[in-house]
Amino acid sequence: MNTRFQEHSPLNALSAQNLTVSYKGTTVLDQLSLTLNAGEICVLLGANGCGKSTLLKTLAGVLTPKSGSVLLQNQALDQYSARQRARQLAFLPQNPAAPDSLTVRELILLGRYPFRHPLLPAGKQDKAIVEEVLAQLELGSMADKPLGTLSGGQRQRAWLGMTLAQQSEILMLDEPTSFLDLAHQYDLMQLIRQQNRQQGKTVIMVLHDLNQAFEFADRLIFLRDGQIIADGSPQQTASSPLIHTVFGLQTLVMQHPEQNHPVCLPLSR
Amino acid sequence: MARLLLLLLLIPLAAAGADCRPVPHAMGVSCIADQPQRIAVLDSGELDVVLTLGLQPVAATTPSHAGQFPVYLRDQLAPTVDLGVPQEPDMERLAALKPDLILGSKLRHGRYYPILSSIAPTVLSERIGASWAENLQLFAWALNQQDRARRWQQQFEQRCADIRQLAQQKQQPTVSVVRSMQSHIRLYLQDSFVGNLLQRCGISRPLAQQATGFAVRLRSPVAIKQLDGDILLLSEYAVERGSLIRRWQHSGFWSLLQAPASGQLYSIEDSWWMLGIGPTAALRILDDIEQVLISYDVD
Amino acid sequence: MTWTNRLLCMAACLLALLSPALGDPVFSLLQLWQFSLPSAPPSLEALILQELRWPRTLVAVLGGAALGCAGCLLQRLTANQLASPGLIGINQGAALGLVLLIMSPLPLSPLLSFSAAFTGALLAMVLVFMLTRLSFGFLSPEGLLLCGALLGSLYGALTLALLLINQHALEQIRFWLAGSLSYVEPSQLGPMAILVISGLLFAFALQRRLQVLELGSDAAHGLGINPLHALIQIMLVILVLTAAAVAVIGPILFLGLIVPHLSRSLWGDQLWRQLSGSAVLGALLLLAADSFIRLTPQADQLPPSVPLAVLGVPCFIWLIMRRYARES
Repeated sequence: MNTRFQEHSPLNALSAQNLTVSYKGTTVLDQLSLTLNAGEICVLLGANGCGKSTLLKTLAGVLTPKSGSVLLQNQALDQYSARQRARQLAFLPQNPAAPDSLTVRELILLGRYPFRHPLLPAGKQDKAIVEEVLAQLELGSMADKPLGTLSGGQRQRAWLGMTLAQQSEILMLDEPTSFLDLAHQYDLMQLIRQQNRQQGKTVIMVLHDLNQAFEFADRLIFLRDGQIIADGSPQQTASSPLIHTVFGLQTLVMQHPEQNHPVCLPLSR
Repeated sequence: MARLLLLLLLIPLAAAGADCRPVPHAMGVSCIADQPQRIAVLDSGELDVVLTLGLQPVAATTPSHAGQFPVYLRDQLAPTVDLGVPQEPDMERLAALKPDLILGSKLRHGRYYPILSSIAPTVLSERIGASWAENLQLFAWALNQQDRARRWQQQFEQRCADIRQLAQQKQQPTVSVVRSMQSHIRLYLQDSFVGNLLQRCGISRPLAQQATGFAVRLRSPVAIKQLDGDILLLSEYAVERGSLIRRWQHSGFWSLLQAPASGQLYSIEDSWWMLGIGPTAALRILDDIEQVLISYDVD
Repeated sequence: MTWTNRLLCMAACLLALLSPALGDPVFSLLQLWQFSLPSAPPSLEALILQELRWPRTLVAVLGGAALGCAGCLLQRLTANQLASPGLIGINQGAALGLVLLIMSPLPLSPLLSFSAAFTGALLAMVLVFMLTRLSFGFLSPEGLLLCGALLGSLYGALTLALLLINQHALEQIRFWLAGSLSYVEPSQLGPMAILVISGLLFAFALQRRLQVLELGSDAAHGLGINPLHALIQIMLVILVLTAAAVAVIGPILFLGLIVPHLSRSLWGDQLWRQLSGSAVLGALLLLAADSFIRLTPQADQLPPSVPLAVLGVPCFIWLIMRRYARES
């Protein structure tokens, strides 16, 4: 499907070396190192304020680390121009906002921004990609509806569409399912998985829901106080002591009765 | 109220003095010392009158934009206290000087009359500008200098007659008087000082400047032809602060005027043509007019 | 292009072409054509058209388009419909620059006064940027609005204080403050045209960037834009457009506020449409107001902001009421 991806797919898509990031004077990430493999879905987990969003933004180049560096295909991220970077990795922030009148198609077309000439109208290829994304996400029927008239689930799908239109190898999503009801959360996660499995995209996202993470992730990274305290597959990391250390909550961890992934049930604090 | 009471108290006191002369003026009758010693003047017209009659004021106002006494009077003027702008003279400074006569006009100072007359006997003319000759008579009476005024009048009549004759010799060229301000142009009409003076001495004016009234104000060069005459006299209010005529001179409209094209554009001094409004200024203007007329060739 | 769009564009073009005929004297179409030709023999009529009416029309078109466009950019950038270049200190900075020039010993040439107003506006905004950076820690559009309003009132107070000290500057600046097109300086027309036209071009070149910026600064980062750079670029365009217009025609506050609203209610808030609509409407409104003034006896003294406000405010209120009624 995506030939560009297959040509230069390196094993490690993105890596961080000794990242230290501070925000308003306090250190949020402290000497953190991490390597993300191409083609996997990696979920960052942790309590509020543990630095997972900060890590995602730093990996996406939104935040600049105080020290250390992020390598994208073995080249420092800050050596890419903003446009070059946006062609390699797409980033969807938490609770993104857009003018209510912007239509779904217009929003998705904005995903083509890093590829387009700043002045010329959208080219044939851009239009074709937008239509392809609309079809993939089953947004065709509401393509010309303004975002303000859509439901939360539809809107989030449109936003995902914008990042897909970037046709980047790496997709970074910050809590993409928050504010969605259960069914819509599930739909969106399925879409993301589909992108990973069918298009070969590397996905890095922050999630709040542990069970969602267990179900959809290939790899989980647990963060506490700006440091990685566990890193591995759901099967490797699903343990109640670890969850207690990370979230301060007693849980019962067990295998999903019908599917091949762990689940965790909260007990008490 | 307090001021009014003070006034009621003061007027009879002033009038009761034995050695004073009652002088009727625009605001009533004031009783004035036989020979006033400490004269305060509230406008440049009154300053010109006082100096013309050979006296020295103790205090005077300065025209608002210039911030100094008119140039042509400065040589004759002994050190004099500056009272600020004519529109708002500094009353405290004035009172501190203890004048025995204040000269001004109802037009500009009528509203201050109660305060002024509580400071010293005050004589106000009705208007300024076109009434300059009558104002001279009024103030000469207040200053008890009627003889000098009469002598000046004779001298003026003589000069006026000369000019009138000269203008006739030159076949009555029309004389346009233009004053350029920062953002508009003024053409002075019959009811202005200059308009009145030129009319008295038989100088013809262009048609557009023959109307009654004080002045025409122009902001757009569309009506530039109203500036034209056989002779164009141009006065500029404050050149360093911008003068609208300079912009017009750089536009194509300037070429529509006959006078500059035929070399009949003369620059005149704003201080006596426009600021003075008094007898000394009048004679200076006549000198200027004479010069211009002499060099004017009838084709 | 909807029919209203076409109609308004045509109206603007028609008015721009015919408005020089209006005023005292009124010219017939034939006269307008004959006397506007550069080859026309020099006459009062030719001079009126070539030196007064056409430059005046040009300035109204440029100034109106600039103010409308700048207002639209600022309202979109700050996501605040009450934002207007008049509210963030640009006009006050220009006024202060002009007053300082009048009080300085420098001669008061038209080109110098244009430069003073322009530089005043520019420096005023640099200070607003610096204050925003200092007090908010970063350049946020909201911070710019707040600091702009604050410093704007400071500039206003300083201007007033200087005018009180120097009374004769008042006479000179009064006319500019009222905002007037009555006499266009030929030497100001060139720089204004260059700045406004390049400002408009940049505005349209940056509109897609602004559209991305509207998605929030994090999303903008993700799409390959440095939000800070984009913000500064767009603010610079707003500044250049406003300062160039204001330096020549004076602070006509109303246009920057109302035109983007009008444009939005006519063509919706798709950025490209609202922006081009604002440029056309701004030019049209200022031109219409100025043409109207030229037909009144007060042609040389009445500022266009008077008919704009007298006719525009009721329209604006009606517009708000209509929208409110539609939404509730």
